[in-house]
Amino acid sequence: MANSGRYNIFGAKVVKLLPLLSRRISTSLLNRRSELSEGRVQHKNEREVSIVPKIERGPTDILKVLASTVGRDYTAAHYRYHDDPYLIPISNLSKRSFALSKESGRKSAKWIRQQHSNLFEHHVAEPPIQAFYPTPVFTDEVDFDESVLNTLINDSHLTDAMKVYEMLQNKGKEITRESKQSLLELIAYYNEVEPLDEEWIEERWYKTGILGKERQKNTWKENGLAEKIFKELDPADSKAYCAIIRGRAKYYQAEKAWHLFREAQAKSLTIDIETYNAMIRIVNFSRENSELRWQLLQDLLSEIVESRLKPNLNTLNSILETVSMMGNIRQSKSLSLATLAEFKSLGIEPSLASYYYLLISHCKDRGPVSSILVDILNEIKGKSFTILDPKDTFFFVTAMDICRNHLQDLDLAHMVNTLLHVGNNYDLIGDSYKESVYYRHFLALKCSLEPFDTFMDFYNKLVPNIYTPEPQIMEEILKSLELHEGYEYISQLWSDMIIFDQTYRATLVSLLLSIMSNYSPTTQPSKYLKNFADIAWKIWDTIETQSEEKEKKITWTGQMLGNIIIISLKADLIDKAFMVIKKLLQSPLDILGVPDINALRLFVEYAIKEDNGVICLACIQYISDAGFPETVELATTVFEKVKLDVIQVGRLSNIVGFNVAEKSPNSKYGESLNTTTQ
Amino acid sequence: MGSLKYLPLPFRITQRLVPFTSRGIFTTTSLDKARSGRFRVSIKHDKPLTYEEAQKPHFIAHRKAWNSYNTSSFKYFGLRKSQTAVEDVFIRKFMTGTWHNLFVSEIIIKRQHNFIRIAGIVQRAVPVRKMYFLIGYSEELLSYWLQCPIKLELQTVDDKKDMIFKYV
Repeated sequence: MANSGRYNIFGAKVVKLLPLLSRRISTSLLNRRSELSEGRVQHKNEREVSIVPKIERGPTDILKVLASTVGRDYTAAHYRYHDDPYLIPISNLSKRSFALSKESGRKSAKWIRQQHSNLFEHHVAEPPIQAFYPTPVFTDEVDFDESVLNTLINDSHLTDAMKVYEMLQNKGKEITRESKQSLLELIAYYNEVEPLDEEWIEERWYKTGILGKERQKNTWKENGLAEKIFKELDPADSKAYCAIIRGRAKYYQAEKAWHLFREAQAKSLTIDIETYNAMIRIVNFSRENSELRWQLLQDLLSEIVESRLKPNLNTLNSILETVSMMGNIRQSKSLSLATLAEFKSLGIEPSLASYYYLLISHCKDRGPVSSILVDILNEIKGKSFTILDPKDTFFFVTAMDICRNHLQDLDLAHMVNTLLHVGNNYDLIGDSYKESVYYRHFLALKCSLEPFDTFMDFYNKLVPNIYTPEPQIMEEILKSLELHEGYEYISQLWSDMIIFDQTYRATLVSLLLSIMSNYSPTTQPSKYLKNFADIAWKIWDTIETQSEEKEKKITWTGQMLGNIIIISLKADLIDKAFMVIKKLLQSPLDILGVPDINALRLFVEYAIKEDNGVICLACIQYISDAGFPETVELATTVFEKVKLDVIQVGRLSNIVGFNVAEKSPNSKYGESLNTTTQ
Repeated sequence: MGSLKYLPLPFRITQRLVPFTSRGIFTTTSLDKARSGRFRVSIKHDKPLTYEEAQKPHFIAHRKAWNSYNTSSFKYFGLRKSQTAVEDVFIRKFMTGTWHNLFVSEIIIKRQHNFIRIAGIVQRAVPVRKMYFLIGYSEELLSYWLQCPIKLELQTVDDKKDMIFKYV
């Protein structure tokens, strides 16, 4: 927060500086002129020149400013990927896989260094850089004392610190109370689980984050090292009590936390504000219904007032979190707003997490529509945020979700997006899951509300380097395409589907086929027909040649085949249509459902034009087997228009159930008969 | 006693008979034929050479560039010619060994401040995930060994044959 003014070279500070500089220059010029023109009236320097205090610049401030002038390059992949066309990922799976395989390479290098630590102890760098040396291993032979423990605690190496502590205890060495206290705090904070090293940035980025409320269950390690140290710190002072209470509350061991809390109060120990914050967070786990919870919360808050403690941002966020999950929706709405107002009067600025809790309190799925997001965005417009609470990263995703599902407001979504790109706010997008969900909502909203051309411009900017659409979003885009008749984009979307590895999705493929088959080029130019036929044929090839062992196999449906027939016939590729029909007729058991009657009707028309009696007959057979009522009509058409021999007429009659020759006297068959008899 | 002096000629005189009455020592430098960095013509003329291999060493700075860029000969920067050379050898051996048969060009090493950039052309013989694994591994291990940041700047090429400049 203090840095926000520092590298703001193009901001307010310079604006103040420039006129001052110009004033300085002009006054000096005036002075010179007055010196030269002696005898003339001297222009006195009336304005006071005040020297602006020096702005302290950090070593990388200029770099940061230069970086801020360069916007996002939409044509380049992310920096984590190597800049080579072979090595740039496009589909979601490959993006994840490449980033994580690079990190696994780094992990294996680190492992090798640990295994052969005796080979990596040379000192090349001056001054020595600790990160390049192997991490020290603590064995019983090495003699160490408490200072080692303190350095480990400072560097937050949890497992090493615990191990060293036990070793020191076994050796009977003296450990000071301060070390025990800091070790207790460390263990209580992490609950004896070593956190993922900050070095493994890709793993952290791709860790499956659960959006929303995860199941919060009690995971506190009973009879663990934290409890042991707490007992050793007897008589426990307030700091020890606070540490262990906070640890228990953090990991949802609510009952015992309250027990210790009351114990500490009974001993009249001072409890600090962070402990109260932790207790506020577990209010919902300590009482059953919303009234009791509200009562308990009020009690806690009055205790804070009595202890003359100053609430901070964490207090605000804890209260909002508890209130949002209290149970009574109306109460949580009013309470959240009241809390925010009160903390504003105390001078505590809400963070993005506070706004997140507001959103989840007010914009419920089953509830009245709330436009609180508009007010929030007006409030925080143009502000630059840093991370102040772990839940800050939930804000942008939730906001975009609300824009799409709750409010269906595109302008609001644009406001959220602009806010995301202010300053360093993009860092608060969280992790890869949240980013993909954010763009998923944004794209879906745009796709349904914007004209298709504008949408495709935006799509081309984002895809594939920033975001790759999931199959569901692809489906929505295709549906919107059908609605807006954006047929010129079909080939692009099809090639995108191929490179995103989505061609094995049956819903997508059949949707695409139905869109292409519905395209009737009476009003539009028909250059797309050839394209569509190519795409349809590609789909045919892909599905026909997919291997048996593949888990994600698409089975042909009658609809799909019917659509391919229509598309091929519209593009005048009759032999392809014949191939499809052959498949339809020969292996009806592999195919789910039947094609649309229009497809079959169209095919029969073409077959009639070709004067191919055999195929016509086979078709009619299939149509009657499928149970279409149009069998009779088509059969009579076939009889009238196509040259059939006696056997075929007989079979045709069998199919329709009556003698076709009698019903339609004007037929080719009749002509041929007449000619022969004559 | 002959008064003819010994003629310090680089070539053997076979045509004229020069009477030598004293045995001397060779006072010229060792006049071996230059052979380094040159590839001899093969019998079938099917030996492939990349562009760099095809240019003889006297074309360095004319048609060819160096493989290592550093300021090791400057006193201001520490004068660590030998250490730099040994590190370069280590880096080249390490890269060739880790990337099994994958490098199709020379390995270029550029040093800027304390930063080492390793560049080269790699063929697409392994799937991309494995390449990323190798990139992460090489960068990390070399940075542990040399104790400075390392960046790989690779370019992939489809076929080894794309690198062939001429057959000799």
